[in-house]
Amino acid sequence: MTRTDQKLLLVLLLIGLLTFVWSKFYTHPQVSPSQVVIKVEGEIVKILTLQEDAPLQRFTIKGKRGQAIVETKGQKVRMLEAPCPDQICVKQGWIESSRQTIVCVPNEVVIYIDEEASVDATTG
Amino acid sequence: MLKTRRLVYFSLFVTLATALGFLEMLLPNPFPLPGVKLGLANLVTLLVLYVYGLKEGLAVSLLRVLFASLLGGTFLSVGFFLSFSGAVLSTLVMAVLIKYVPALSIIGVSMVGAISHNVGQLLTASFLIQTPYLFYYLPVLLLAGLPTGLATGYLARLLLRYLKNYQ
Amino acid sequence: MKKFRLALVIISLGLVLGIGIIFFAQSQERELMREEFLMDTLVSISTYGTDTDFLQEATQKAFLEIRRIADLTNRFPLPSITAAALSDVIRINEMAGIKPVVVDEDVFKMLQLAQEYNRLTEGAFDVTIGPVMDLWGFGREKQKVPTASELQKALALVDSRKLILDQKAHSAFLNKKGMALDLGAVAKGYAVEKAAQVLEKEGVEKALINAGGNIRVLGKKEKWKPWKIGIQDPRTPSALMGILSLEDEAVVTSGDYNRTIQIAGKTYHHLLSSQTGYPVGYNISVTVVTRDAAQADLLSTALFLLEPQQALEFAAKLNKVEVVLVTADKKILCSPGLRGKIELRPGEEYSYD
Repeated sequence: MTRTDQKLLLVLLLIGLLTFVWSKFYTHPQVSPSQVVIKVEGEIVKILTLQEDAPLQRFTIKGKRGQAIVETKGQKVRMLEAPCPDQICVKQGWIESSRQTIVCVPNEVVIYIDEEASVDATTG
Repeated sequence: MLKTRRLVYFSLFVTLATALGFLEMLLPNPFPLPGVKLGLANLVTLLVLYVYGLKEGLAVSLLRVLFASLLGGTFLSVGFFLSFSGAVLSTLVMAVLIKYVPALSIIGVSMVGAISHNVGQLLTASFLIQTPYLFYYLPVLLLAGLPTGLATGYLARLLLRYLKNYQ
Repeated sequence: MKKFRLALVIISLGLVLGIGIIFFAQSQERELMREEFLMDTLVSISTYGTDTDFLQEATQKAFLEIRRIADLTNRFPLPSITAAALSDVIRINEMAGIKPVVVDEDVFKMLQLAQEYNRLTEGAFDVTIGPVMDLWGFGREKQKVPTASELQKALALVDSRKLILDQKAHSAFLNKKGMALDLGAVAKGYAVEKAAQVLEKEGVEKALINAGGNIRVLGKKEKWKPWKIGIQDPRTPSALMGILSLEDEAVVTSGDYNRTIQIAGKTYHHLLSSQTGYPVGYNISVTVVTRDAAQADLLSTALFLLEPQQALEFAAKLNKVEVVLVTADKKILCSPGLRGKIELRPGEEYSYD
């Protein structure tokens, strides 16, 4: 092992440790551009990554009953239109945290935000 | 005569690399981290780079990735592309270091080789899976590459001495 | 120099080993999450283990079990279904006042459980509430507020004592024409419990089943960490009122905000009194934690129908039943056994001790 080898080892070790510490402690708050997951009949049909300042976007989703329109703005998402009779999903409005889920039972569409959640499930 | 001898040695190296690579695939991973291996196959690539040169080194590493994946039934799977990109990147990086940084011994080269192998895999993985999250795994692979690179480096130096004596 | 070199090698090896061990616990285990729409809700099963194929198989079997219970207890026949495939509940209801119906063992067990709690709650909890549910139009296309005389007629048909269960024949009989079972308060929890048993039998040690808030957990989240289950704030759906720490337990909430209907601008919920036929208004929500999801589901409804104090006293008499209750005047009451297992953090409108 030459001097250069040793220097290299030290430098690499240092870089490794620093980036390790950095990745463990400093990046977490900004790691989570929230991800919106849209499922139809239990299958993921779309995953959207939402940045905080993202402009208004609309998507059509083909559900079991028909077409639904999903709208996102910033890190929020909502069901704009749905072909279900009760319209519970539409009335729910915007969701923006991982605890919230939009479920449209008739159309079998689920929309949720995926980030490190504080709870594993919610009862209510 | 010399040509035949070269060919035989080259084939032996490819076989050795394939066998070691396949062996590593079969053995339970001694490191509990996905993507981290001892890199015994890289050891052969390293030796070939020193004994022959870039062309042969690249050939050996490409062939051993191909053969090992055929043997293991992972040809054209995600794992195949991962080891492919890792092998190519590390071989190229090691070749450059050998040629242009003579101050580095085979151990230093091996360390950088091990790390670039991991980095190459990660690059491909994050491209295939399309998530930047994988990069948070980078420091782990970097740190893991150091001791494995050191170990294969020492081994390579040992083997190189015998090879040089023989030649 | 040699020593320095050796030290470097040892340090870096040690570091990697340490990091490796940290990652070991995290990287070995995988989560498998599957969702299906069953029993009018979204049912999700998350299982954890190293072998994904095995988890997949176990999860499929669990879903099969839920679907089986759903098909047995479904109250409204699907248009596509053949007469032979009618659910036990539909058959019992159709044969009301005519003859007993031989039912599946699980349906029989559910009915026994329901009858037991009917007795214990002195009639407050009643699965023969079907005629009143139908009158309001829950689960149907059209809804309306029933008239007093309509309600009186329907309420006369609500009486679990007229549900005759024959242990030997495994049959159930509603002995008056027009009576109707509604297993809405038991079936989901029962199905979840059965699914949990399937997973356990298959060898799954760690899982979370969530059927629209009917939650059953197997094992712990991590070695030193229980599962964290949020209780939804009944008035602010996006907020949590509290967080429960559970292991090998079930939790179910009944609330006045679930399964509601709107008639002429007014909202009515589905937890109807077997005395008046109207939605019961003593509580806003009742969350029950027990070992068994079927019991939790049934109790969350039964306790909701009781006055808060009475509900807590009732729960205290039962073994290993814990309750979080939000009264109509927004007081949060917890059973003493939950101390250390619940972290309350309600909004300002609520009060608690």
